[in-house]
Amino acid sequence: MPSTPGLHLTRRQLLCHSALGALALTALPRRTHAATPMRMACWSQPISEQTNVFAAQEFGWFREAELEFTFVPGAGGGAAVKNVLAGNADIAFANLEPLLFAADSGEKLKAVYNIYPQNVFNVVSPTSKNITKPQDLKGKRIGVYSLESGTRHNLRIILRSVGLDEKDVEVVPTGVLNFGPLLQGQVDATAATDTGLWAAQQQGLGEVHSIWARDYLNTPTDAFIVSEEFSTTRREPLVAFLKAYKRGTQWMLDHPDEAAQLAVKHAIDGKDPQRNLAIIKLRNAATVDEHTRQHGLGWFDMALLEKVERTFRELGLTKNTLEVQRLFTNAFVQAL
Amino acid sequence: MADVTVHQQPAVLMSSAISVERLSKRFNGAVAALWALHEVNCTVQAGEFVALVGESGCGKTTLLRLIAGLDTPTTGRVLLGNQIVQGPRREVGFVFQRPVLLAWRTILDNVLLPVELTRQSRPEARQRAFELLTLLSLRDFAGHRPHQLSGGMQQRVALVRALLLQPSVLLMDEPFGALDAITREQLHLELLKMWQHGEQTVVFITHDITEAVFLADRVLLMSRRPGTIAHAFPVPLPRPRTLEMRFERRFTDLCHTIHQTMGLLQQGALYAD
Amino acid sequence: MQIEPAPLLHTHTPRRQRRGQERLWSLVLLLAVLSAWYGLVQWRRLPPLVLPLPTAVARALAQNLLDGFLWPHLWVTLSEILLGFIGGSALGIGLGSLVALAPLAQRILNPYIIASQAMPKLALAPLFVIWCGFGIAPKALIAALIAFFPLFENTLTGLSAVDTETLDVFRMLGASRWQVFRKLLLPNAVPYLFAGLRVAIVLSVVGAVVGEYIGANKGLGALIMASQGMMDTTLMFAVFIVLTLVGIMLYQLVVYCERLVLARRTRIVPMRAP
Repeated sequence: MPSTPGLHLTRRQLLCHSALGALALTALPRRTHAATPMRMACWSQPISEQTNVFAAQEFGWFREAELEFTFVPGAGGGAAVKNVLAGNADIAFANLEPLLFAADSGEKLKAVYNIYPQNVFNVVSPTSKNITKPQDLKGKRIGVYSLESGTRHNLRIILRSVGLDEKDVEVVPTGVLNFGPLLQGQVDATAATDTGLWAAQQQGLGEVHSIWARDYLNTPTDAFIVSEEFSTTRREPLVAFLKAYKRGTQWMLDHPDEAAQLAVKHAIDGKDPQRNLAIIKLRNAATVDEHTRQHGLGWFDMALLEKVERTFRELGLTKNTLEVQRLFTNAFVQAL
Repeated sequence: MADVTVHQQPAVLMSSAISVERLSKRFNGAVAALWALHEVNCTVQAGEFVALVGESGCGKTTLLRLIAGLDTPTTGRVLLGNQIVQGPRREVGFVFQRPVLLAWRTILDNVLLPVELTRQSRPEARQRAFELLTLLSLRDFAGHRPHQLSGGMQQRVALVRALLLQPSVLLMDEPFGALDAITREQLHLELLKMWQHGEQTVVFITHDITEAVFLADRVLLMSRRPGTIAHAFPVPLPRPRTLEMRFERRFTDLCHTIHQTMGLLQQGALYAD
Repeated sequence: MQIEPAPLLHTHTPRRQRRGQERLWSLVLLLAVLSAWYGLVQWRRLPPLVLPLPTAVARALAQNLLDGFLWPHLWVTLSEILLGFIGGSALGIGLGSLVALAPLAQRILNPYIIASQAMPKLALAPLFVIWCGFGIAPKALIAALIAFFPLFENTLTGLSAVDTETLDVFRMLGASRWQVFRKLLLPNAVPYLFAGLRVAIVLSVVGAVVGEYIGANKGLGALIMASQGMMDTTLMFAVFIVLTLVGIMLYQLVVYCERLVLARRTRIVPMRAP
């Protein structure tokens, strides 16, 4: 029994007001279609390589798919995957190594689209060093971006093809400006990428020999990675996103010159259209292989991936045997 | 931060008598307790000018701070008028050894600080401030900053600030010690002029016996630590005092006597009464 | 007997002339350094990837400023710096004041305050990016975190740096705690605050840029990372010069404000080491 009549009235008034308020809220006009947020964590800042993504933004393909797209920058594939695991992003545009390492630690991730089926990593040395095949690397000083980078892992794969490993060479982390030490003779060779090599050649690299990792084990360079949960609970937006991405990729393949111009607007390194064109052409080349021609862009070669998983285990990069069929899937690519 | 409560007590008389009764003060040091004052007894009449002299470390400053209410006694008490001193009071003006002015305020704002803090009538106080500043030849510097004034002028400003609220008691701890002889002479005359005007009860600490005799009605000599009043010397000189009096026989004799007494005290030949 | 006037040991150069001479020598020094840089590149035949010519850097700088490429990035970084600086400083001053007024809190917090001085706050930057995502927020937060500490410490010191005699003056006049704080402690602490602000503004620049290194689409730090990927060391140098100029201008702004406020008093507090 309330102590004062006044209080009793106030409580009833409160109830009335709440009811009215709730009613009013339901009467508010609601958006018929809410855009699904799709935050893509990239291994890099928005650079000209990703002009296919910019195309999807520019031409409204994400919007058409009812997606609210956000480009989340990162410093390396590891950061991109971490962003997904931490909930800062929904999907990662990253290299395969962080996926395998995370899965090795028990994280439930899934690669749903093969972005670059071709491997872009290499080992470059001045011709004067006469390093033309993997055996020649024995005893040499080789620069890598960092000990966590794809350049290091692919170097080991190259060495492994002739029965060598890191103990037979001297690995030096140099940061991304890895051609500097090469030019100054502080390293005999440097592990880099196709775009890195091109950029260095523009800066007066001179005559070099390149050993390409794809000739030994063609590990795909990048893939779209999501959490397992996301792949099952958010199937529709994921497919919609990949569709839009594929559309952008096809456009970039068909219109490289226009893509180079588009990159000027969107890419932080896109000031020079000529440079953009060269980079875009390199990435276009990495996007296609025999499987994509047969099954469509984004197709995973499962047999190759089994080999990659085994190699990683043999190199000691992963401890557990990983279920390739679970980690990688072509189910989404088939739906595109 | 120190406690700043002031006990609100009803206004006291225009000038108050000071009564120090069996005052002792002990400081707890890191090694052992230190008795700074031991059973100090003295009385200062209302409107009297008393000088306190003694060797360094004998407790003069401690005694003054106890009278001001800045410290509390270990035993005994201090009475102002007929009220026990339990904390700092606005009726007591204090002038320190350093001018202690606020660097970011003008001279006028420095002088008006008491009025700001006690929220009294401003126009009246401003007028009083200007009067005092004029009396001490500081009128033209009202808009200046402390760093633009010499040490002697800054100390004058401190004096004006201490007098702004028309205190009934004025306590001064070696206020002119850092100044040169000529400035000190000027300030002596100005101080006496102000005192004649305001009729406060003054307790003035100094090392300089000549200064003490020149200014005071009575000179109290403190023994060394633990301090107590060893001897009182009345000053039989007429007022207003003039600078020439310093060379008169009775002046120099008195100074001599006080010096001798102090010397005997130091040697331990004479003990406190 | 005639007394010869002593010969003058040096002529008295008027101050303005001396200042002009000093500025001239500074300029000469700069030119000397630039020439040495130029000479080094030419003599060692260094590729631009390793060390570009100063002339190339100047050209890149002028080009990128004139065609508007740098301005959006500059604006983003500037916002991060200013947001972080203002936020961190305000928090530092506020918390410093609170702790200064509560000596018990001070004693309890003391070991942590000392530890925080040694802690490399920039190392936390990647964590901030994970927690706050990308965008202006985490960079401003990192800048704020870095700006917080000098202000917190200097406010604490400044508010405690008042001598007992001045406090006694206030006590004698029956000032309340609030009056002592407002009329004595606060104005007394202002020189210390400005010393803290000078340190904080420079550190805020570093904080914002490091935050951008870790993950940013726009900003001068992001540009530096991008130029790395592009192997464009010339651009990197140009952006670095812009960053330095930004830092200088912001610092001078604080110094100017300091002079305005402190012009009438002459207390100069030496800069605290970060």
